[in-house]
Amino acid sequence: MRLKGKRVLVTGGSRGLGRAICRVFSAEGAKIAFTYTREPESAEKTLSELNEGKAYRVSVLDVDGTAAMVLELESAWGGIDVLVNNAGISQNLPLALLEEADFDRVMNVNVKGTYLTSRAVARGMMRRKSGVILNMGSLAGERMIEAPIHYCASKAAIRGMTEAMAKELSRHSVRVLCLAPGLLEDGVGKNLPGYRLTDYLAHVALGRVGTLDEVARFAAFLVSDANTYMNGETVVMDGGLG
Amino acid sequence: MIKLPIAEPSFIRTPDANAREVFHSFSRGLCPSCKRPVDGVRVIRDGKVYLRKQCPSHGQSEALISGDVDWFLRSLTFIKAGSIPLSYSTPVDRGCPNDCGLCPDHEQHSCLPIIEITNHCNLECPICIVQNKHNYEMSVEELGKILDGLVAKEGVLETINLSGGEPTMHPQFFQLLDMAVAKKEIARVSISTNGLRCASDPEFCVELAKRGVYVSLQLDALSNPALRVLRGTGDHRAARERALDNLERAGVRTTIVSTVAKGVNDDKIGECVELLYSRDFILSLMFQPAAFTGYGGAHFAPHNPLDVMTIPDVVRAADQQSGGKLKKSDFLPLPCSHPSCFALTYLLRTEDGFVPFPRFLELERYMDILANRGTIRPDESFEGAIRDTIDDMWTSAAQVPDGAKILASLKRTIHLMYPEERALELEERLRIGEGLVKTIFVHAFMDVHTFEVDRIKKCCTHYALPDGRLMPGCAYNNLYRDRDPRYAGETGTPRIWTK
Repeated sequence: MRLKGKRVLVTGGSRGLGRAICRVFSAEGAKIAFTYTREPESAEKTLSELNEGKAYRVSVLDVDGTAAMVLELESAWGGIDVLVNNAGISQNLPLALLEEADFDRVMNVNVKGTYLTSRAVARGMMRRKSGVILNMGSLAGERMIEAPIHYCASKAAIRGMTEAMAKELSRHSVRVLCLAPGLLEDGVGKNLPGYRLTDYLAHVALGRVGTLDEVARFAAFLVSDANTYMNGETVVMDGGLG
Repeated sequence: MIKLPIAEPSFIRTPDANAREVFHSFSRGLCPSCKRPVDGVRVIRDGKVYLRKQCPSHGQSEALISGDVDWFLRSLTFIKAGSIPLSYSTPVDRGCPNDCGLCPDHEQHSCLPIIEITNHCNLECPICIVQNKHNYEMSVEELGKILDGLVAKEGVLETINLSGGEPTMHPQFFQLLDMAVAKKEIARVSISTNGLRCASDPEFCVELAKRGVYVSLQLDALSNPALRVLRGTGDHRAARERALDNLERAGVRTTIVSTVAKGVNDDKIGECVELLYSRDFILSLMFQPAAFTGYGGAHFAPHNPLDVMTIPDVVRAADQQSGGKLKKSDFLPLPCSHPSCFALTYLLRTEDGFVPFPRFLELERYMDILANRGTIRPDESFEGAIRDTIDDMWTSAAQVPDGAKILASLKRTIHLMYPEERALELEERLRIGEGLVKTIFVHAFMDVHTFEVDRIKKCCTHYALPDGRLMPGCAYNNLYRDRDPRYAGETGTPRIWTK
């Protein structure tokens, strides 16, 4: 039970990696709150997999909604120990079709949403001089791979934000980390055509994509008390991409 | 250096060359009298291409094989290597076309296996390419053997077709259909039907929709005079319209199949195109220039082999009758079969209609995309072509008519097929793609007059028989069908619809 008693907020927790993080963190003893924006049925399914959980239908771009949620959690739990900035989107668009509104949307959700939620939650962490923020990056922000440019830019931005935030918040004993997975069994990689997946896997030492649980289990270590000396790092988890 | 004299055009051009006959190439076909393979030549005359053969017993015969020499010559450049099946059923012995089954000399695998589950039919169409004897129903065991054999030879199959006769008359139709649908190696199951059961039984259409079955609805025109010449007595128009309505209401993905006979319904091509454009549940349209085999070979009159519909004639008619929707340049020969057998165009749905792919995508550069299926698969070839096209159009948008509209449609297509909120399985993505792209095919079957050995060697439309053989369609219809042991015996009692 590496996260026993930890109070965790996960953005984008109703599906995919967010759900896996909620489930694994819950199994490790954490209290979970997560956000979602679309399908209440999916949120219900995530809730059903948790020991103790709350679901909030609030966008990461909704400043007031996020503030109200954080206030409610702080009141109910007495604080938030861990924030996982997982909510993110991608659009499969080449540069020629990538219009300003598309770029803004991805950057808004992925980058601005991470900033806004972090700002709302960090306030309490700074006050209590304790906390961990885990930002979900991506291999697409680390390596030169064929992926939509706005998505790659947003994930690279998250790496930069992680480092700056870690530096700034370290004086309040708040650690900030970034976890950058390669292709996973679900999520943006699932839309890859078969031939591109085959090409990718030919360069992965383990020869397969990662599972959601593998990433979630490692995320649990990163935010746990067992991990005390990592700060500002972006950890790439890709099965050994050559 | 020796300088050769340069011939002036007047020295090498023959006056009235276009009106004179020009030898093009050697061929091998069938004698229309005895059906023996005989040598022949292709000749060009009056802008058309003819096949002339010489039978030692029955003398010379001639048939039109292409109504447009330019189309014919250009089509011959549409060639790509075939794919061989995983196994063959017959050895090379007497030589093509007398070893069918397939033999190792065949140069294409089976893109579309057709399984005739019955030879009962409730129509006796004067234009029918088969001779129904009303005496055979396929058993469950036979279909099981055929399906297993297909998987053994092909591995996975894009589509199989259940045909007849009229397949919906089979007393165990749904049992057989379910066997095919349940085969996980087969992505799609279609049925070829005259539509009479669809017209009279809306619940039947619902059952087809539940199973995700595709329907190829035979519909040559929308007016009774033409339909009666081709299909016999009865109010065919009313029946076809009811069938269309029932299929649409049930949400059955449908292909319209129109047999086109010269002087009968070649002026109705535009109305079939309009039907495709106007109704969402119709995914594709197949024109089949009439071939005179089977019942039609003996009964359809008048039939002059020198004055028939060919692929470029259908293409020209589509150009002339579609009010600018289609142009001759929108159609391309299909390179994976013989280019004289198939032509097609893909249509991209835009906000206010459809745009043929060749107007924005140089399909000739991407022959791998062209296939005799209604669905474009988002594979490496297609993705590469689309990405090149998007970049080309974007960098020269002002030079491409409707460039902005097409780019917007492509973007919408990407959003639907690759939604940001979730990942789709390939099949789900393909189904979405079916609603965004329509296809028009022209498939020219051969009869004894037009049969050519080089075409049959690349045939990819095969009849699958219970004995394990896969018979190239036109070889079977012209040379093997009347020897098929399934149909031996007395002719049964027909149940012909005459309303």
